[in-house]
Amino acid sequence: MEELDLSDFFHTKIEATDFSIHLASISESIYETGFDLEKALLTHYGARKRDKFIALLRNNKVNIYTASDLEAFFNKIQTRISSLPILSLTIAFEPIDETFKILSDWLALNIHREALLDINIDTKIIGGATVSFNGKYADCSIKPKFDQIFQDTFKNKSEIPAKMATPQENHQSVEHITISR
Amino acid sequence: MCMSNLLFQFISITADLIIFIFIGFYLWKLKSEEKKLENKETKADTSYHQIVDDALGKERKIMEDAVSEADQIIVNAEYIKKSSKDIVDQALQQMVAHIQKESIETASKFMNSYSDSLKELASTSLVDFENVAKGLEGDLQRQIKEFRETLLPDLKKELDDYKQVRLKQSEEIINHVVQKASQEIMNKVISLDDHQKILTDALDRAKTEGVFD
Repeated sequence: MEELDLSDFFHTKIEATDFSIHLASISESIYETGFDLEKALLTHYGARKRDKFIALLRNNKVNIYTASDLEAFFNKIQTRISSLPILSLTIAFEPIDETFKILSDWLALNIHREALLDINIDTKIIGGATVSFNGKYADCSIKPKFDQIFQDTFKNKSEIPAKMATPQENHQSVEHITISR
Repeated sequence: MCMSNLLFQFISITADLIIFIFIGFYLWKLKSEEKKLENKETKADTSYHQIVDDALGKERKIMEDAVSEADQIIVNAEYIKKSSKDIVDQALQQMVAHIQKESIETASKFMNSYSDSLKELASTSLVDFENVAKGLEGDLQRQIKEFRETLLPDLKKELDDYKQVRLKQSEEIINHVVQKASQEIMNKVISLDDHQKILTDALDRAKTEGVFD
């Protein structure tokens, strides 16, 4: 079975959850009299996503006038969302839409499947990312390398002043002190 | 009947006469007693005035004597007071002169004695001070020597250890601050494009390390 491509609707875990909640709300009202799918999609997702959702329905040959078909397709989407793996990333900057696009493209190109991004921001890692996926973890940030360079640099630097700071042997010597009237 | 009436009338008249006589006698007696009393009163009055006049005369005499005596006493007292004052003033003047003389002599003696004592004390103290200073110098030299031989090396070692610990602590704090600042600065100087490029490089590296297998 061909997998649904939902990358136009969400990239992150939070967005996916929000999408799922709205879809459940729409799904509850499809059997109501006078149900208007396009109006409901417009209300819940806005014009741009509504058009993409209609296109998705058309591409999957779903009869939008049959409530049972819609319900089945909605359930399929919900199942798909819940089955998506989560890619946890800790990055050092505030991501923009372009960033999500780059990440989606990278995922599609390199691991050939969708994943929900769970992004945390931590400027301490300087750049790069720490990656956690399916129980595996890798620190691919700049921080470890930076710390290593920093430690090496300061270790070498701190050795020199220590020698320079060695007090003189006769400093403040009391050997020649005498007391007389 | 007629006889008895006459008798009765006679008796009645006789009784009336007796009564009148008795009353007359009584009045006469009363008058004479009154006269006697008046004579006595006149006598007593005369005697009383005589006594009062005598007493007043005596009193006046006593008062005159007392005044005369008092005047005499006052005159005598003033004389005594004046003479006493003269005597006391004279005695006081003599006393003051005597005390001044004595004071000068005593002060002179005391000054001489004090001067001698000071001279003696100065010479004695100087010698004592020299002795004490010599003793103190010896003690100090000995203590310095002991300090140099025993306490100083330990003190130096403790000082060096303390210095090293403090230096290490300072170094750690400085390193920590510099590290944090460097991280923040480096994070800020990397552009968004470079961040995104480094991010994809990081994902490539994660893929190489097998995170996505």
